[in-house]
Amino acid sequence: MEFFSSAVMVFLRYSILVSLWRITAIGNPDAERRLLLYFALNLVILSSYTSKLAGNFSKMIVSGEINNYLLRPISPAVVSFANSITKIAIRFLSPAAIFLLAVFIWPETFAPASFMSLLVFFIFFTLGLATWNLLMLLIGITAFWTSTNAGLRTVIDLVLNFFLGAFMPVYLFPATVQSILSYTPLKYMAAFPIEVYRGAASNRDMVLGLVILLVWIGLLWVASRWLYKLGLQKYDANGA
Amino acid sequence: MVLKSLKRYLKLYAIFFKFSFALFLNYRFDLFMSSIANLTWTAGQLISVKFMFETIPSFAGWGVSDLVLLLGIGQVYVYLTFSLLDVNLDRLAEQVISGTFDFNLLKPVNLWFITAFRQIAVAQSLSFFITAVPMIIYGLSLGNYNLERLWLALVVLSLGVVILFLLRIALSSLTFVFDDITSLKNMLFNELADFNRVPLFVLPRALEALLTFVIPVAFIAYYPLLVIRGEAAIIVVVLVELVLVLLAYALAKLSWSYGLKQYSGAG
Repeated sequence: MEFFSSAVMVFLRYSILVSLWRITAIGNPDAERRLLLYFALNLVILSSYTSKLAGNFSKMIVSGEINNYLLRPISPAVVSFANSITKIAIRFLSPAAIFLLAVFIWPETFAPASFMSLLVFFIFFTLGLATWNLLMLLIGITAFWTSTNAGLRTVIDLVLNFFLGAFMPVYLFPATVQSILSYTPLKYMAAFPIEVYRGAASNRDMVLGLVILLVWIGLLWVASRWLYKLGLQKYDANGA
Repeated sequence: MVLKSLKRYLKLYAIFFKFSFALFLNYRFDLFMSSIANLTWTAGQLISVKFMFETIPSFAGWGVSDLVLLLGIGQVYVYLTFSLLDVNLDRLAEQVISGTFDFNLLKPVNLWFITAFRQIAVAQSLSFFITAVPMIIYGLSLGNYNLERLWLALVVLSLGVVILFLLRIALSSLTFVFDDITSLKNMLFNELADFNRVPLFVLPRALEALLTFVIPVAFIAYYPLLVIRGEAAIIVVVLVELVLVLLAYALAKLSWSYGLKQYSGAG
């Protein structure tokens, strides 16, 4: 039932977005195909970007459950991620299944440009997932200072989703916004991998994208470790 | 008699509101964060519309003001549901399972009333005033509309809200039979209601019919906007809505009575 309703919901969301933005591509079959692929793949990618990790980590801090991991050689962040992986998988499964079906039925619109494009797409997708979860970890860590951060999570989730192109195609953003986004990891977490998938990204852009994502992952990793240590100094065993 | 009964229920609702307000004062930070979240969402939608019109000159004859107004009117239903209905109907399953629904049965008031309106999500209702209302005013100020038609649009919107409320009651009565209907509710009322952001004429005919006659979300934003634009025959729209109100009422009544028969006090 959960899978079925999730599949219908994904389909409805897709229909809304495509209906709304199709008007920008009327009379141009290439642009229409691009739009159809964009939202389909964007929904698949964004379905795996959930704020569950931030929620789980905050809960651990607030409830004091984090105590259980302080003396063990295992990171509570890894435990939080493991706890959220089932939820991520459930959310990811239905859009991915629908997308695969679409690839078989309409390969001319939904199939990858080449095997290489698919491979590089997966590399970006994996790095994007790592970036997203590091961002969520950072938000989760704020629970050391704020007893509840559910509202903060919602706000950040909305802002990030907007710039990840969940509501409108990133390629339709004004040039200035796109140029600013190219210095952030956001562009390379959803919109750019889609360009890679359809074989529209140059080798130079792919290398640049990988470098930018890796630098951001490094920065977020350092920031989350530093903030976690800072939080632990403030934390007492009864919870934050 | 009717007036006396109405007065009694208004008085009861005022008590519910006082209680909910006292509860809300304990969670003031929630108000701040939910307002920021709702403002962010609204800003995101407005920016999307602005960006869209940088790409295209017109949306099949509709301008920025029309799409902004469509979003604003759609938000009225969204916040009404968030603040008045969801907070109560989402708890129904828990009450039925635990058996605490018995307390509702023992109260000498209308069962739908006590089930659907007992609590008010004050934080969400405040968001209505800082997002939906300014968006409607902004949309109206951008276009050249006949403001006298606003009242007619309000009638269409109100009837639309009543239809959807009755359908929600009908769906909620499934709680007495199945334990969890959350995903079904989300699918039918949250995801489909999102279509109120889309002018119906861009959708395939079948979907348009579904959103007009089956889960009639078309009446909560699209038709009110058509009325404001002077493009809908108000008599026809209201007549269709009245028929739908009657059908939805019959469905809600039947399914609720059936559901109640399945309920045993032990949960």
